[in-house]
Amino acid sequence: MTVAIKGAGITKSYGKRRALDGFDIEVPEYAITAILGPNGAGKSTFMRMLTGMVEPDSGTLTVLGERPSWQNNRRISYLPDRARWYQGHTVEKAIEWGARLLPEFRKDEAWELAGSLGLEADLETEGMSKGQEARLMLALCLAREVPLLILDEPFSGIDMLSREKIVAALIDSFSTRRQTVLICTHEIAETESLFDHAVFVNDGRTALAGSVEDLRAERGSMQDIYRRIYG
Amino acid sequence: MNEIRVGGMRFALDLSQPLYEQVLEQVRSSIAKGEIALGEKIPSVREMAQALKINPNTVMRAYQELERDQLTETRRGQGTFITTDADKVSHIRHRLAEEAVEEFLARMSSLGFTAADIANILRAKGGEG
Amino acid sequence: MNNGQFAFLIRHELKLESCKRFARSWYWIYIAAVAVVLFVAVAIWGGAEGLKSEYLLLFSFGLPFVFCMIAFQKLKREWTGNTLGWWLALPYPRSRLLLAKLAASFGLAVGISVLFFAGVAIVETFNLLVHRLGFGGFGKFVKLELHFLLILVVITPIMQALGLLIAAVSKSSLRPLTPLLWITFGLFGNVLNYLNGPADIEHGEAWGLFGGSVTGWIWLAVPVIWLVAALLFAGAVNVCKKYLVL
Repeated sequence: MTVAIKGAGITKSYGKRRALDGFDIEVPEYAITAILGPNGAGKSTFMRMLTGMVEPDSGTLTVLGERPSWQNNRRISYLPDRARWYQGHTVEKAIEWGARLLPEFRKDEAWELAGSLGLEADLETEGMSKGQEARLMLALCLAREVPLLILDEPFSGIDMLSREKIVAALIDSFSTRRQTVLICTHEIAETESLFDHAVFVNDGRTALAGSVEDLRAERGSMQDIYRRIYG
Repeated sequence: MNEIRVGGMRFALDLSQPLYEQVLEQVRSSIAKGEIALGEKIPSVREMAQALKINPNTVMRAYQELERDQLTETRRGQGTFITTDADKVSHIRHRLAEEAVEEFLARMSSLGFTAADIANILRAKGGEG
Repeated sequence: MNNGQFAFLIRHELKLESCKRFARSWYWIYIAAVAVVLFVAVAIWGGAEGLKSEYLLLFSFGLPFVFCMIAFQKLKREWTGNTLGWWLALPYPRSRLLLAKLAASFGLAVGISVLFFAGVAIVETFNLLVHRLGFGGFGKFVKLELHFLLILVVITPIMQALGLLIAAVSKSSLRPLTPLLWITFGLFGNVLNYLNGPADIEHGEAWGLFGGSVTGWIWLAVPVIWLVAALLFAGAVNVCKKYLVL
């Protein structure tokens, strides 16, 4: 197994609160890996480290063989946590933004995705439902031909139909390109069948990690494991 | 556990068991049951993953295993097809039957029945039927 | 980052709010109302010894503050709009990302200044026409406006770099410095007031700066001001690189 992301002994504190406390992780290449855990477990802090937005206090982290930096972000498609899209934009303007600013952005693919996700070109951000906005942002992320896709909480707070469309778009994208995918979520029910690999985070550390199929054979569904760890 | 139909095949996946094995077994039994005919095209990895809402890697692994067993064959540019070899299918039917019987026997012996008891019960059941 | 991308980023920063704001019709209604009031006032109280258009130029004393807030908003918007993740994960150095915001803010500042002085020049023209004063003094008036504009252009970078710095610091682990920066904002923003001491605006003199009554050494302040602006900007870049609390 080749490793796309490797972190060892990562710590990060905000004042007295320890977000990450000796966090270890290995994310295999060309697989869908899930980082699972409740809010406040330190997942998003780690996700932000991958694009260099947050620096670890200590420990080592390599992403696609390099330390996180703005340069490395050329190869990473990243959906930020709790992100919204720019007010005053339309779907068309958002795709233009992606095409002009994001490396390896495939405009035709973005339009295709927007179409299959049910987004009209002149739909304005202000007029979008939360689900439509989430679909737009996912389309922008999936339209990039890059080796690493990182989605931080792509399913939270959106309607069921949007969620299903997003899952379908992810499956399509993953069947057609060789890409490492890392998804951070606390909503497992509808998504656990997507994962190859899972990392359970608790109190800033890895509580359990492994191949999802092995974990199923040994311990049952991700939902069961989740309940046992955090319940 | 909802039943999902893909083409003629039926699937019911249990998330607390490895999915790869379930997909593999359920395609096999679909072939054995004749839900999907000899020489028929099976859904692509993408279509199957989409229908079952599972990781394409899992479907791919199951398909590779089917191919290794020569139950399917991939024709370049056309897709994957069920074998046209009826022997292969009867072989798989036979194997599934054996597996079912083994499972049954194991269960019966765990309940404390001997081979003779089992034979008697089967005969009685068969007589009624 | 190539020039095309940088130019696009500046346009992106420029367009976002400005387009929307001017699309609101009530915005224009206010502007029209103020214009009507002005013209009426000048028609009634204007003239050689009455209400002078020069007084209107005093409104520009507030512009340095406005310009600082424009830059402040350009950065703060990334937080309030929850777009910070998109912005910070762009594969470009923080210095470029912030420079695009500074450039867009500066463009807006120059645009607003030019509109303001053009507006005042129109009022003055109206005044001269209504009270039949002739256009002898108009050239001098425009020159006075240009002096104001020049001074605004000189101090805008410092105010806008400060605006970016305040926005960044207030979201960083250096947050306790924020009040200190707002005090600096108050001190720097009043620069036109300080200069107003020796000024004789009523007689068309912009603080003697251009009339020879102040030593020519004063112009050395320009590079110094811009150097301070550069330092503040570098500070904002550094805060965005290392000290943000996300």
